[in-house]
Amino acid sequence: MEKFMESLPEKIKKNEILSYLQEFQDRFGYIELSFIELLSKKSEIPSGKIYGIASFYNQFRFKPKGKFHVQVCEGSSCHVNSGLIIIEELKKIIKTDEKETSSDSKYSLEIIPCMGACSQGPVVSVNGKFFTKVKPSELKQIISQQDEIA
Amino acid sequence: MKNLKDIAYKTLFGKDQKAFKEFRYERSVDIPHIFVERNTGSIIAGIEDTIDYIKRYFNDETDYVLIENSSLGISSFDPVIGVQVPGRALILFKNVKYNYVSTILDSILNHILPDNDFIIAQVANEGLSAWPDITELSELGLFAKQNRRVLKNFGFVQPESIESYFNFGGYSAFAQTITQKTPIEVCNIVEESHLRGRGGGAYRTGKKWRDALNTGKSLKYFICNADESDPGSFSGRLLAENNPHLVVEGILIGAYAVGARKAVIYIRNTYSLAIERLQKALEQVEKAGLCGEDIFGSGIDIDIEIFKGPGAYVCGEETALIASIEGERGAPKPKPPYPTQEGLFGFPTVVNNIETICNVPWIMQNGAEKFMETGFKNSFGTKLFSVSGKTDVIGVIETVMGASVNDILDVCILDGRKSEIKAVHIGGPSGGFIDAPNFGLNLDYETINSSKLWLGSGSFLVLDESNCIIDISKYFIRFINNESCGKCIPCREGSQRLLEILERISEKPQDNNKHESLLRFKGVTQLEQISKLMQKTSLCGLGQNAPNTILSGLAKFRQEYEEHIYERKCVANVCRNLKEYFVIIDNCVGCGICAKKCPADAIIGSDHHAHFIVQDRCIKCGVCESVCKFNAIMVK
Repeated sequence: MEKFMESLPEKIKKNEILSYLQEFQDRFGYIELSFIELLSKKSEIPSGKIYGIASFYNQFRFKPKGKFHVQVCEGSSCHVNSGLIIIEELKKIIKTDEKETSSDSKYSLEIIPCMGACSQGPVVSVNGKFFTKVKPSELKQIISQQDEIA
Repeated sequence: MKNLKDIAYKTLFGKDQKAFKEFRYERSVDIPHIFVERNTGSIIAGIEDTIDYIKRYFNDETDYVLIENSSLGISSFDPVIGVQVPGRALILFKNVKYNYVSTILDSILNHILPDNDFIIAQVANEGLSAWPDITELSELGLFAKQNRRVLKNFGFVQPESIESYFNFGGYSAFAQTITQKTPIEVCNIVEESHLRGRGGGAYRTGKKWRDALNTGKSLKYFICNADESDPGSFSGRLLAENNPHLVVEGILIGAYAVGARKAVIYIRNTYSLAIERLQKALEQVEKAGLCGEDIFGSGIDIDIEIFKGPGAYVCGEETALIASIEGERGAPKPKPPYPTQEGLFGFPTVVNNIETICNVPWIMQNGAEKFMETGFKNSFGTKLFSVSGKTDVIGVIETVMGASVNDILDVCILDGRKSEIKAVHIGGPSGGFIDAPNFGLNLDYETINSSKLWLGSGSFLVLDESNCIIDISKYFIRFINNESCGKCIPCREGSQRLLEILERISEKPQDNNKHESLLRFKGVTQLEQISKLMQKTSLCGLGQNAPNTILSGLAKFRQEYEEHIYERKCVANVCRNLKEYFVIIDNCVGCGICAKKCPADAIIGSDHHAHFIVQDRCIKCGVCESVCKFNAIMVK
């Protein structure tokens, strides 16, 4: 992480900030607050403003991902096939809220507006492995099964 | 292979159409060809496993060719594979999960047809012997009833190959345009075609282009808006993932017409496969000399870059999108000045939706008059609809502009189930409901606007009796509430109030004091008033159109609202918080099946004794009711 931070150029323009934030998140899974401080120094924009910009967009999260990163789709097609129950139930099982990470850093949750598999809903993915047409009663098994594999 | 640039030049200008003949899909093959439709939807449905099993099936012993193909657009067919064996026509299979691979390949490679459930259709061609009793793809009801113009080559063109795109006549529209037409001529042709913005704004594309061209400034920007972030809309992703070169060609023509040297594709960061394929397409285009400096000696420079949108619904609005590229919060600005005068970094900027852009090459090739042959009233051409919900076919379909709701339902509902459809919600979060008696409504811009609805980017959510209008409204208002940028008060506060009211009327009272009833009553009286206020005073289209869902719901499904409010009843059984589950102690024999099946561990009790449901834990999923054999679960 330090290496990456050192590799940044001396001066950063305002319109480059978003892409640096994206690159940071792609590499490390979340935005570290010290990175915002660094961007602030290099671009001479107050760090509060950069945080404001970053928190405006859905993409950025400010807590590290858990060992199991759970993504769940809340698109309208998943919703009409009782996707809301899935989301609520999932939050209870992994004891995590949206964009948060559980206290034992085991699980993190991300709610996605649409995953793009509208015929397969509701869709849940754990560390990139997809589960389709999920029923509420299957959730526990999906989560514990991933636990066993790891 | 020869230098890509030479080949491109020969194909486009040298009338040497044979240059890419070797890539034609219609030709006979000497070894089996397997086509796999790999895209986001099919990856989730399991195409990677299917590909893996195909490779394992052939196991390096038999020669075969595996080709990554574009999608037909029908998501409910995923995963789709096509097989072409020597001498025979291409045949397409649907729902090929990994465990069916060997069954299907075993039979088809021996020229025997597998189970009918898997077969979509065949694509017959001259010199290839057709399969008996298998429908031709273009004659299949699902496709015959569509008017596939933008989606014409979907299912055949290979998304990661410029050669394949050339093969279908790709880039010839751009080559003709740049050599034979001046920018003003291009603007005029597009204006004559009456092409209107497909993202929802419905502004005349040609007029927008000419406004930007006429500013006369030297630096201009052309932006392709592929942000597409409304739930239930996936046509933009389909276009970018499956035919990235079509998008690029449209952008090149547009940028040439407005005199823009720089073009930007604004696409959502989460669309990783689409970004990957667009990037590949841009690399190939540059190698072929169709992009960059001095394109084919014309003195025209066009640079295209990709901007990954960090995700905000409001960035679909052009001024918010521009703010986002500039590195700001994606908040809209009041217009004028319009972006065509003062846009990105203060320079004239044209922002067009990805679907609009994909129409442009067709118009340049076939002319404005031909484009206007299909359409209704003042809306011409075709429109993509992302059909989802309770239909047999889920996916993107393309119909004539102004087709009625019925026409679209006919395409995507296969048997007589149409009578079960209660309503259709069109236009995503900014759209509204159309109820069954109005299914004859034409979906063109004028009719839609006069019905106080919104076509948006064409999401088409089909609802039946198992869906609750209040629940769907709540879902969309919650989305608006999350995505409201917070700049103007009517949208920020209004959506919050609307959401509170909807939540209040769809749950049981927490306690029985008078305050609670007052809040419900307040909800009933204020729902309409707040909605109208939002429509009149919000800054951008997001807020102005947000209450459409509620107003159209109130107008057409007032009874459902009244049932929720006065009787606390949800006919569709969706509003779970209106329900409470109880065990009827006299009926319960204590078998424990409900406690075992309950996903929330909300049922407690010992063997052979009556059980009990802990209301705080109950998620109202109804599993207990469905598994109980003694009618011991009661819903109140």
